[in-house]
Amino acid sequence: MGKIAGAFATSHILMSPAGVEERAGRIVGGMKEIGRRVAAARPDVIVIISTDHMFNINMGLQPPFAVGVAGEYVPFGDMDIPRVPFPGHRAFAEAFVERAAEHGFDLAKAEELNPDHGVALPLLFANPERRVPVVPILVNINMQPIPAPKRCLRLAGVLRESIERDLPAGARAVVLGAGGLSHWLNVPGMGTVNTDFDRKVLDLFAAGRSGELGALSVAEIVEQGGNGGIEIVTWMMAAATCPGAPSEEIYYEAMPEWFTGMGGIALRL
Amino acid sequence: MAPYRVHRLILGLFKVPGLLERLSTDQRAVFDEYGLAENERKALADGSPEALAGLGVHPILQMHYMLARDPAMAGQITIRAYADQIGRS
Repeated sequence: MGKIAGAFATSHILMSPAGVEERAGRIVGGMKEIGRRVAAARPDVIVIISTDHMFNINMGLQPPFAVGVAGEYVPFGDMDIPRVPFPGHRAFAEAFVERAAEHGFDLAKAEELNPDHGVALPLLFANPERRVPVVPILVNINMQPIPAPKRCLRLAGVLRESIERDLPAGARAVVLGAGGLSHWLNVPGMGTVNTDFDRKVLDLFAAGRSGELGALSVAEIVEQGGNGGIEIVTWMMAAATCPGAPSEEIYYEAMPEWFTGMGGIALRL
Repeated sequence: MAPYRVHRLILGLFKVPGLLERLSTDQRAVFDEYGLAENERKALADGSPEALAGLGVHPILQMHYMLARDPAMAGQITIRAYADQIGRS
């Protein structure tokens, strides 16, 4: 029986620090702190729940959810992320997909995945030596219909069950949600950061009440958080693997210069 | 939403070998190859966010298109400035 040894969530981009050096420094410091805590959790597998930016999941085939089942991944290389391979965890990925099927989730399996910054950037901090095998879970927020938050939460429950029942006894998993916070990408409102929304979200996570966000529709989250802010479903999923656990805010910065709110949390397990 | 032929071209910029270079050197031939209509050609030749949005290009693919064609933008959306901090505790 495996266990969740750590659960975290973080934004998944970095941009030029020019003109915003102090805030950028705090963001990188926050990402590094999450990395330190991931290492301290001594994971045997890192499950990262993120989004693809149409470098892998494009209009040619549009699965709502996809799970990497490969034994190795080479990053796509956007944002100048080094194209250095990192290991996958085929056995657990396959087991999770099987278990999800038993629960009514027909997940797309990806044998060939070149993770873009959504997965690869957080792992630069969370798995810098590339020693821990990774299972990427991608939520397709770029095509309609976007998976409903409540459905994402149900899938997160399956992930928890799979970690507990499909990993070997004593195995330790870290779950990392990646994306958000509020941002509007190439739509009206671009450059806006809805700090009220971000604060509400962070406060709900801090209180162990992020499950309440599952009552919101996709449209309601997009209205308040932007077409990129819907990425918070990845945070919600990570937290939902540890139901009711409060979280510690590791960093938050409003970054209109980067067109986004940036944040990171650690669940208190 | 823009027709798929437009999105297919943009999706190819990072996937189809040589396509991005050919878009620079022989734009008309690339537009012919992807069967673009006149208004689609004008919008892609313009390449501004307004032109792409007006055509209904997907927001993410607007970003792809601008990143592919504008080195200055690519120079903003990069981890290069943090290279010496990544991988250190």
